[in-house]
Amino acid sequence: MKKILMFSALVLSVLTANAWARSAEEAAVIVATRNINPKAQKFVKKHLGKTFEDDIRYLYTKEGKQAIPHTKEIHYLHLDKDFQPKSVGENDAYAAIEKAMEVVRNYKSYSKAEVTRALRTVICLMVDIHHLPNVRIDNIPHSQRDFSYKFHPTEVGKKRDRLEVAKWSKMGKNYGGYPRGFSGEWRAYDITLYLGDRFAEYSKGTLKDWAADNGALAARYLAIYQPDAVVSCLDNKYMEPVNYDLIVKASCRLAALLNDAIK
Amino acid sequence: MKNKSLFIALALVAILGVQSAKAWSGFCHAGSVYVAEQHLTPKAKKMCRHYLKHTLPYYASWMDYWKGADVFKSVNARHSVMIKADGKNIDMAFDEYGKPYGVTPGECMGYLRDALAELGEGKYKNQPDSLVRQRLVNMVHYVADMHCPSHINYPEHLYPHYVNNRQVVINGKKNTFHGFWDWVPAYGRKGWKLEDYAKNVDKISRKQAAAWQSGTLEDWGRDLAEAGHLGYKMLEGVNDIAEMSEEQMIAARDLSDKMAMMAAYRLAHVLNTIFSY
Repeated sequence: MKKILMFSALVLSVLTANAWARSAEEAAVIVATRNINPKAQKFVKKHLGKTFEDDIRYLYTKEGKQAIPHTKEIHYLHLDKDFQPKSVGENDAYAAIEKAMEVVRNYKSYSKAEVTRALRTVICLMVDIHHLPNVRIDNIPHSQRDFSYKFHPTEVGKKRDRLEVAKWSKMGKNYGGYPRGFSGEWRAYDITLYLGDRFAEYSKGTLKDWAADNGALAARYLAIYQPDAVVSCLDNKYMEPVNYDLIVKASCRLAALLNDAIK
Repeated sequence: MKNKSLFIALALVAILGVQSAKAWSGFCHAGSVYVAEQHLTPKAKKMCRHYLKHTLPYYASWMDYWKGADVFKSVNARHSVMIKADGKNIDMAFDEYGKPYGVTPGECMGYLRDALAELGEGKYKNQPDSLVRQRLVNMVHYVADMHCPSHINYPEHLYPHYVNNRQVVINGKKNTFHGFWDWVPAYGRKGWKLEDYAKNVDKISRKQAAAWQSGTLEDWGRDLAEAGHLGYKMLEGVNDIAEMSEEQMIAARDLSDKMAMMAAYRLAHVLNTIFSY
């Protein structure tokens, strides 16, 4: 019991230090909700008392933030040089998701409050591990901390060309494809159109595969995005479709995880 | 008959104009396009989904996002329109450098004319999906852009006081005439989502919508010429918006809303027309 309480205190979740825009997170969980099986839907309803998206909205409120103790470190995915999850104790997203899923799978052995916490952990951290600035890879020192980089908003030599500075942790926060005013609900609708009938393709694999997939992608972009690097206009702009696709993956994989656990 | 007249007009119109600038604000672009989407026919909506794999608002500001990248240079026109020397008609014959259309990438109205000629009357069925997609993406942005008061440009030597980048202070910060029209759609609307915008601004009667959608591109151009004059007049002598009364601010926002709705209904009409075949 003590262990579970410690875990709960460590874990939960919600608002990451390095996060996508709030409506992007909402969109990811809304799409996930729509792709879980009826039994899992019932399970979520019973333990959260509401849908994923209502829950994630709640967790953004003052009350929600206070209700769930969590650490900053819990949001990071730690990988070795081969992109395999690395044991860094419980203070790691991968370990936290695995432990939480253990509770979800064996929910009958736990109290409702414990299962609720576990569900929230899974929801939030599954989104977090798909945000590239949350991926820390052993042989890439600059992945271990946040850093600033410079980028060209337009091609070099254009009239409006000037160097701008951005933070790696803010990647995807305000990416261009989504104008202001896009609600989570509307983003979810947009994701559904983009996803089409590719749910199986996007949710294929295990948690370990997905961690490795995100690690490989993070490594690819961390080779371009480095402290004090000057990122080209095109490399900078291409992060928009990359981030969009990651949000879609997060939603499908979250659904797959729950579909597998609650059959 | 209406479709036919539109296409005849398109074929007759000559081209061009103008200066590329920043966008109508992302919020207003998305709001206008969101409203347009609500007025698509089921078939047009289905075809847009087929080609775009996204909602229309997703692409509302896409052209602005990518316009700085050379890879899209060949498909990027100038994001505005040019008014003729008479100040009342749109000029699709020449760009702002006096070069005949085709020498330079073009402007919104000329692009719209060409896109309609290429996709209209069922021709889209014979075009590669990628071409149709790119045309749709561009139109989604340009139809809104050309209705923005700050994207309507007049011959400089005849209207020297119409200075698009003239300094206008907004909330104590340096900005421009152009920036004012980017900013004003969201004035007093903190926290609004697209759904709120549509609910509160799209109160257009069927009669009004039909009037906006009828006529040729030249007729549409005359509406733009009029709105552009009004836009400059509203900010005449204003160097800081603190000098403007609440009534003046609301009047400017109302003009922006009207033009955004005009753009929305016209975009819907263009897409419904293309996919009516």
